[in-house]
Order: sequence, then C-alpha cells, then structure tokens
Amino acid sequence: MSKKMIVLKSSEGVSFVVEEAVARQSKIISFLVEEFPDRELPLTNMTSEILRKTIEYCKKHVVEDDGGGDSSSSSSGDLKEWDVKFVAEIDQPRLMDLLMAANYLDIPSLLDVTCQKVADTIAACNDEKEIRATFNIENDFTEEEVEAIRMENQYPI
Amino acid sequence: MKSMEGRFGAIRGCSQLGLRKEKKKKKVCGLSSLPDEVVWRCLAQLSRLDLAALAMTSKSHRSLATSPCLWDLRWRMDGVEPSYHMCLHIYPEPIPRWFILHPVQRRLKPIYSHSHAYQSPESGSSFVAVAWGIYIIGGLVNGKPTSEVTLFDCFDHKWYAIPPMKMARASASACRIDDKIYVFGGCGDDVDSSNWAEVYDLDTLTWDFLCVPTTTTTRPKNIKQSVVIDKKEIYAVDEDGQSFSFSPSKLPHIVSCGKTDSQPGDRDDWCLIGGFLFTRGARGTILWCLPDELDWKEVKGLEELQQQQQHLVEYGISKLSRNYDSNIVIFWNAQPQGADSLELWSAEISLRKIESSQGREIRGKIEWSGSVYNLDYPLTDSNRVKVVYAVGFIRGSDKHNTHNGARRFERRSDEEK
Repeated sequence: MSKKMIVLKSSEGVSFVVEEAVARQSKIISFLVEEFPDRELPLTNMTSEILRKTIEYCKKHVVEDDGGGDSSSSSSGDLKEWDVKFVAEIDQPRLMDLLMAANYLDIPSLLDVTCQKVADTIAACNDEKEIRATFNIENDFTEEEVEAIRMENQYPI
Repeated sequence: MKSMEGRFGAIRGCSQLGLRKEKKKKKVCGLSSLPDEVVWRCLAQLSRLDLAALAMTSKSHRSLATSPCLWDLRWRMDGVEPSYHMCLHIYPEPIPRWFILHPVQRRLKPIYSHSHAYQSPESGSSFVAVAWGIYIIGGLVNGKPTSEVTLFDCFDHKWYAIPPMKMARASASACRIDDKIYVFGGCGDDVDSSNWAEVYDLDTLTWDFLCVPTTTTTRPKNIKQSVVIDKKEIYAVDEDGQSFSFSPSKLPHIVSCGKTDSQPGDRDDWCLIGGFLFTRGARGTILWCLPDELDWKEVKGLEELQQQQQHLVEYGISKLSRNYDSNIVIFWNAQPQGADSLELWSAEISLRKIESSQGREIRGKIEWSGSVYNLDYPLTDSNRVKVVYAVGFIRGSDKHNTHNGARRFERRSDEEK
C-alpha cells in the first residue's frame, strides 16, 4: 500500500512532498487536508528553510499506524535526545522563526521544545544586559525607571 | 507583538510604524516579535528571578513578564521552580533575617516581611522544610524559650502562625517524616520521658506529646544532629557523640546505634546526599561518612579552593547545606577588600563517588564560587554573619501540600490589626 503524499509550498514557492501522516502532526494541515484534499497547500509565511526544519521534526516524530497498533519510529528516550540536539543546532533568529512556525501550524510538541529552548536561553543569562544582547532587545528605559524597578524587585522578589 | 508595538509606536505615526516593523523583523529577534501567547508559554517555565531580569530589559518585555495572563498560566502549569532560601543573623542586629539566593546572579537578596507583627526568635529555632515552606519551631525570645511555631511560605514570602507546641523549646531537634514533624528535646530541665518529644500532625494541625521509651538506660542528651534516612527513619547524634535511631513506623522507640561520632564537634549542619552524610570539618574541609559508621573522611578535590581562599581556611566553613541539584553549598566569611569590609562567600560543589582498590573516596568539584553578600562594616567579635539556616527548594507538584492547614490560619499581620 503506497502512502498518501501531500505537497506543501513555501513562501519562495518551493514545493515539498511529504507523507500525509507526517504533515498531519500539524493540526492546521490536518484540517486543510480534509477540507481541500488533493491540493497543494501554500504556506506563504514560511521560508523554505524553516519549512524544511519543521518537516524534519515531524518526520522524526511521526507515529505510524502499521496495522499492528501505533508504534513510534523511535523510543521516547531517543526522541528526547534527538529533540535536544535539534534545538541546540538552531541559532537564535531561526529558533524564533521555528517557534512561529510551530505556533502557526499548531504542532504542540514542536512548540514545547522550542519554548523550552527560549526559556533555557533566558535562564542562562547572568543579568538583564546579557538577555538584551542575546535577544537583541533595545533598552528603552530611562535610568530613573531602571532604579525604580530595581527597588520594586527587592520587595519581595 | 502587535499590541505593544501599537502602544509604543503610536506617536511615531502609522506609516513609520509599518516601516519600523519591517526593519525590526529583519534585524531584531527579541521576544516582542512573537505572539503574546507564545511568549507566555516560554516565560511560564522561568524562575521568578529570571522573569524579574527579563522585565528589566525593555518596556515591552516588562509588560510581557508582568502580565496577569502569564501569572495565571504559570499557576495552571504548576511549573517546577528551584530556589535557595537562607536565614542569616547579621550581628549586631538583634534577630535573624531571611534572604533568597539568586540562582543566576548568585547574590543574596533580602526578603522583606509585609508583616511587622512577626518577630523572629533571636536564636535556637529549629527548622523543618516542607514542600514549599519552612517551619520555624521554638527558639529564644528575649532570652527565654518559646513554644511558638511559624510557617514561612517560600513562594508568597509570608509568615503564618501555626499552633504552638505544648512545651517551650530552644535548640531542639526537629525532623519531618511523611505528614508529621517530630521535635526532640530543647526543653531544659523540666524534662522527662513524657514531654521530651512531641509530634505535629500536618493534617490535623495538632501537637501531641510522644512518649519515647528508650532501649538504653539513658535517653539521648541534647541532640546535636539529626537527619531523616529513606524518608522513614530519624538518625541522630547527641552531644556526647552517641548515635540513635528512631523509626515511628516500626517501633516508637529510640534505639541506640552503639556508634560514636569519630569527630564530634560543634557542628550544626549535617546533610544527607545519596546515602552519605556530609558535614563541615576544620579549616575549610568537608567531611563525609556513612550514617551507620560515623567514621568521617575528608572530601577530596577541594585543595585548590582552600589554597585560593585563605579566609575559608582561617575562619572555616560557617554553613554547609545542599541544593536542589544534590550539590553541596558552603558559606564562609571573607574580607577580600581588606579589614573594613565583610563579605559572605559561597561555593557550590558537585560530588563524585570513586571506588578503587584503596577503598571508597568522595571527590568534590567546584561548580561555582564567589561573593554572595557584602556588608559595609569590618569583621569583629561583635560584627559577623552567621548563616542560621539554608535550604534548597524545588517547587513542584506537591506545592499544595505546603498550604495544607496553613491557609486556615489568618496571616499574623491581619491578626494583629
């Protein structure tokens, strides 16, 4: 039995042919496939690079129904390890894009790992200056405001 | 984040705002570019201290980090949050104060009490950590033992009154097993086997005397140290270095273990990590032993720290405790800036067990060390910092247990109004 394939198209117009089971991890795609079967799905706000990454994640996490019940392609321990490596290799701007993609396509597990990575990155910063540098945040507080917040933070933290 | 862009960009005009957004999208990858719900999902997992730091980065991030939606989400997710709380007596102040150790900045931040009605005993309180709170049991108030018990909620940073003990006690020994807190001794000369120990039930919120017959002819003298082993057995050593055990689930008897502490000393901080007992030794050393052997040996691998930190060796470790990572955290007084300043220094040490032909060895590795608190006055006999109590917490799923019962009491401040 051949697996059903669907086509996803990135913002640059690049087509990706994906197994339906893989793509259906996205609740949005799952919905679209049912509404518009046999149609190419344009994902105009996703670059090819991010779409490729997202598909890579979904391929790893697909749960295949091979007739004998559900079986994941990897054990949960391996998957966790793989997830850690997957997000570790992504730089800060791309992590944000991937987070947006996970949110837009509604892929809960990918959203979880990318959110965790953002939280870990913030926690690894020593102070607010390092957070600003890491996330490219512009400081728009005046010195008085900073002082006021510092006082407030002391009570109780 | 659209709404914030709108708010702060309003004065710039719409066309400019559009341009700016385009530009920002290319260059800036701050969290503001994400939808609010997604940002909150990320922030829900952070510690409050990290959130406080994030809230200082910019206005838009401040409104994200302080949003009620975020705090609601955090509450619902019941996230795990590590923390490290400490009680310091900074002489010549009359009573100890509470601090929290920032996990990232590694500095002590004072916890200010909302309620001035709560007065910490001067000294001699016993401390028992429960889920996300600390019971402060007895102690000396105006030089006299007190029966008062207070619960310090480490999440809300509030103090709650708990029913007092039947006896006034100071320098008692207190341990928790399951839903009961056992308190031994500390009641001076009015002691007999009927009132020497009492037990607090966290469910019924009542104190009861615990009659503890001993299998030996004498009851333990003042208990210097006690730990709970395997969550079911209290293991204690008295001031003569004699060891005892007590397991309430089996027999309500104090049993002498027949072992004598090989190095009894004036130490008030044992801690149990991975089945081994650790305590502070002389001149900046850390000792370890198996509880049933009480044969203390030195933790290796700390020589470099001892060489670098002359004050650690000179003044010794003032407190040894463990954190949520099962690492040892030590504190000592130091004067790196000269005689006019006093600092509290700390080091976090991870532990490794090595079995070799020469026997078992425990090695420590310094994960971090540095100053955590500065005082503006010189170290003298009357000016010093004593770490009264230190405990690492991880706020997890059992957080609600802390509040079991405690919520039934009015806050002290309300009571006094």
